[in-house]
Amino acid sequence: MNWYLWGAYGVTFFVLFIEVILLIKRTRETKA
Amino acid sequence: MKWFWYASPETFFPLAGRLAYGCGIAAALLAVAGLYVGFFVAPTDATQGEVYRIIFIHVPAAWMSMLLYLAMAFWAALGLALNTRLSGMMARAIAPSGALFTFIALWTGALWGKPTWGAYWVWDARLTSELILLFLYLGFMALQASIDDRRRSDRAGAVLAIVGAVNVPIIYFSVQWWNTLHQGASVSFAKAPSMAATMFTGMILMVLAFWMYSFAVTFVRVRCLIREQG
Repeated sequence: MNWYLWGAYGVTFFVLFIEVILLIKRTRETKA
Repeated sequence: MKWFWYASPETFFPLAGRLAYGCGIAAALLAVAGLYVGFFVAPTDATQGEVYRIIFIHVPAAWMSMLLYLAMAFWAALGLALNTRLSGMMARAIAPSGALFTFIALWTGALWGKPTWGAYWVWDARLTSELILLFLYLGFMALQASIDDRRRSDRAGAVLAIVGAVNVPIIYFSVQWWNTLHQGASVSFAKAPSMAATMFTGMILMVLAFWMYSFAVTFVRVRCLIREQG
């Protein structure tokens, strides 16, 4: 297991996922 | 296409929704294709082994961090010159994604640096100027958040964005201007890429995926700003 490789990919897709979740939340709040 | 028609936030709002949807789907498809090529088609590197596969997110993230800053500075300058509401909103919408891609470029670079250079971080010209870019994004967002009046905050942010744009060519040319530990450009318009065709294909697919992702989140965020600012 290459921890450097998975650490890079894991954190990248995690932060992008968080950005999408926060944007969905913000969209719902602004709609209301 | 009636460009000036879409300069108004009210008329741009539905178009941004359609564009965000299309770009989001394109980003997902391109990312799947890029990751497939990157992990299953591209061969293992002869000297770096598997860890080189960080290139498929590190290089696209680094490119996006610089391009998004230029796009942010462009919209901010347009807003400053023409006093258009949508320009300021576009600059505001781009900044968080730009900061995120800068963080990803630094993070993935650190995890690539340790096994190849023996250090997570060195005060190299490329790394330091990229870190300054992250501070510029954070400074832009903090400055705008600290001023309540939207027009004043747009103007203050625009000045910072325009002045900070000088850092982008410094990042790009740092590997030529100074003797850096960071390698030179692997891909340029002047010469053929210095990597295998499958590696290059995977990287370009991920660049396009990050582009589409950036468009999608920017359009969604600008729709939120239009609703919030009315």
